[in-house]
Amino acid sequence: MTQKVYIAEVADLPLKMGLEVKNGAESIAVFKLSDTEIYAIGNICPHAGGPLADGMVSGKEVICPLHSLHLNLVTGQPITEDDLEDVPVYETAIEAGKFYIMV
Amino acid sequence: MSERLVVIGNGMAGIRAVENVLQCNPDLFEITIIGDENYPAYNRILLSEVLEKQMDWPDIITNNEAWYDENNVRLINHDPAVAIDRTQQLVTTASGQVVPYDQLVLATGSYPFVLPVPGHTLTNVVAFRTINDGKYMQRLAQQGASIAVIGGGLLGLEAAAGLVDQGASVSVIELAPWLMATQLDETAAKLLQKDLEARGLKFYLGAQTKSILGDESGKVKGLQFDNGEVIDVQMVVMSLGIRPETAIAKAAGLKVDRGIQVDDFMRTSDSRIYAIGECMEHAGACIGTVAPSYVQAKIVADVLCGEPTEPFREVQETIELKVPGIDLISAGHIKENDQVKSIIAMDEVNNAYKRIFVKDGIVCGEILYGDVSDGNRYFGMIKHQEDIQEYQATALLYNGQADDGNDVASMPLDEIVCGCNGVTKGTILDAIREKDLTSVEGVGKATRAGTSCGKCKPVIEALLKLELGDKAEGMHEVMCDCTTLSYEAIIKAIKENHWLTSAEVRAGLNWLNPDGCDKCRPAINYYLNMLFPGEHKEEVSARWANERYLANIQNDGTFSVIPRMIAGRTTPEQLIKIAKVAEKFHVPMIKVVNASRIGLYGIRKEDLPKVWHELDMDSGEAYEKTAIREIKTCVGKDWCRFGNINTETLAEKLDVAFAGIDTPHKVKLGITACPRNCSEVLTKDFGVIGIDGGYQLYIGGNNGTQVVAASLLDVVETEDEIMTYFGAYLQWYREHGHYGERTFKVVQRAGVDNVIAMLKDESQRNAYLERGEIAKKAYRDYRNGLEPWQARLQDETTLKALYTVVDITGRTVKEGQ
Repeated sequence: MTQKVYIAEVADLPLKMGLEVKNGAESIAVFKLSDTEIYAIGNICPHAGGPLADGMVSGKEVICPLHSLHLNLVTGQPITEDDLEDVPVYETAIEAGKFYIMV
Repeated sequence: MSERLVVIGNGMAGIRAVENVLQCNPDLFEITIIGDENYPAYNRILLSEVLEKQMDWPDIITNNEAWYDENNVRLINHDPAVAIDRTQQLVTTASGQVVPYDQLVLATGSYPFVLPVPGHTLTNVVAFRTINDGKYMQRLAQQGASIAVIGGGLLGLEAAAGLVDQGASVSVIELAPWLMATQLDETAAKLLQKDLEARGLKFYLGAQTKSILGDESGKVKGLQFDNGEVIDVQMVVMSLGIRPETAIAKAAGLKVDRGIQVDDFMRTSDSRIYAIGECMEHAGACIGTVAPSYVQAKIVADVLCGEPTEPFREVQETIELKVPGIDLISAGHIKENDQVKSIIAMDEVNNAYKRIFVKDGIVCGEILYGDVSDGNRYFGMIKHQEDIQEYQATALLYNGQADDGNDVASMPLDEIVCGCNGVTKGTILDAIREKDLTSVEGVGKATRAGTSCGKCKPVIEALLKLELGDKAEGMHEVMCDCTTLSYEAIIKAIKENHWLTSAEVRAGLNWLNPDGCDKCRPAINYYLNMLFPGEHKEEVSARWANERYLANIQNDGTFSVIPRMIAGRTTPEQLIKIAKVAEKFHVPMIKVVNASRIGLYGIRKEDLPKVWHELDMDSGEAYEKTAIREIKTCVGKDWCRFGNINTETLAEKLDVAFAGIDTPHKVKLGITACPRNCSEVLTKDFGVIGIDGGYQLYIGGNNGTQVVAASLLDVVETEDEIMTYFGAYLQWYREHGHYGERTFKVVQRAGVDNVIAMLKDESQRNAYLERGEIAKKAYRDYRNGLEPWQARLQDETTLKALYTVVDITGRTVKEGQ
């Protein structure tokens, strides 16, 4: 069952960069594009395991820091390779300046 | 209602036919393209460049999804056509879709010939023909696999060179006694072989493959030759030529021999069906290159649109190997016999070879290796069947003009510049004049020249320079897809408008993508730093991981910390500090790196600030793609019995003066105390060789994917002169380099003689030096005189934003509320 978990204050999330969130063995990358637009996807690149939270954001894409695979932040889909798995996408919530993820 | 045009095949011929039809009359047909692969149309010729990492997959897509939408072309992709019903005029696809047609164009291309030896069906036996083949090969190569390429022809060698560059060890197996046997003679082939061997390729010539050996899991483990010899390989790439893909045409009862039979206007035996490209056979000949395919695509479009057109005739072409650093051209008839004789010139000093074939006094073929600057001149002679009986042999072999390959002024107007697309010098010049073009890309968009294999781009650039003079200089490279402006235009606009943030630049120049992309974001951040040092606030989100975190990211997502160790010199105190930190943080790997420093590998991002704090050493910018990286030095005259100069004090002076300044790409220096060159300075961005009584200074060397020998700038007598020269050169590079471009490319672009003359001119040198000094001061002020790690440790906001990992294990919603 999923539950809503507090991550951080929206104001504290880095802008147009990733934040790595650990939940047990799970690793999640959070990207704030603006104070009202925040995405959370799996942090592990499906190509070679790169940490997506350390990648550069370009529009609604993140580019893996290891081999430059582009992934869609909204759908978790790899863009520049076609035979790779999507990364998971997490539901998010912004309430009273606080940011939550459903995990 | 408009007629229905169906094209089977989304390759280069099929898409070009559709483009031609649309250009002629966009409303004439309702167009459907049926494709087999999972990609929109792409430039297959450039696959090997992708393999060599010269380009990336998205770069070779020629028509993206949006193109199909905008032009109202329906694309049925990844769903091959499997049957044609000629009486009902229907095409059926693998998934069962039925597509009716009024006119049908077959552009089904070809398939690679696979040697039917035992083991050819094993996993890891591939033909290099599609993007998916390429991706698969790339992945294995990057793991350092041993790969056998069967076939020493053009494509086989391009693939093999690409695989070696990616890290594989590659053996090329060829049945013929020498490489590219249909295009080269033995002499040229041996020169080629030697150059490729120097890059690490291994050759088995005159060798026949008996079988491919597999392991229990069905994967390749080796290859056996006819003589019983076995080599260990994990992959086999077959590159043995192509066969026309005719299955669907044959099944539909069309006339097929080797290829689908067509007349002079590309019509098959059914008057509603046409065939173009590698699947067709015309007058007993099949084709395997793009230039005739494009001619056919134009003919079929003209016929479909009711335009007058010329009948198809054999297209004369030159063959060029697309491997960086290797120049060869072959064209026309290149075998000697009773009527065909040849004139040969071998320049063993420069490893250049020319052989011109002549039949009845007329040039009929050419083979050039090493120096191909005359390739176009000979090819013109072949096409025009020029009678050369009046020529002296030497006049034929040497045209007596500047040997820069860009002698475009003397080129006749009807000479073809772009062989793939059949575009002449005259057409390009007309387009430049009529459409005010200033860039190679612009010429490509207007004429298609340079858009296929890309080999002719330098000639197009030379034509632009010829036509526009200074106006064309450097105007050719557009920064990225977000804009149509060149680097130079963007830098000029930033300077004039005094913009101080990337967002202002993008808004001010009407960026197509208002957020910017991964190409322009770091570039603009750099140019703002360069133009307004101290005023522009560094934008960390526009930085790649290394420059953002001030550490090198490793393949498992951890980082390395490599402290500054000027000239590779260290002390017991430093070594003790490093040892203590390594123990405390359980550093899994400590290595003396190539740049004469000690690296600590496997450090977690969140530990970086703690490691820097404990180390209390300076950052050497080892992580920077965009700063001075290393100054490699020998021990110099303090110790070495051959040393002429003191290398370490010079290295320290340079390091202290220039460390931490942003550059377009990394800058590597080398200082060596004598011409024995132990520090390998001739392939550095800036090199110093100590000689008796002075210093030789070198610029523009490189030792990466391309190896380039540096050029001698000057010989000086004092260290101060070196500081002056280097300061001016560095600032020139900072101002003129395109972001991500090493010095050698910028030097080549500007012309090495021009750069040297500019640096030797005192007033120009001083002007660069002065701007460089302002930048140096601004960088130091920006970090309050601190080196990057210490400055970052004091910047709590950035520290928190970048090096935090949030652990929510066991956390519930209540926390934080």
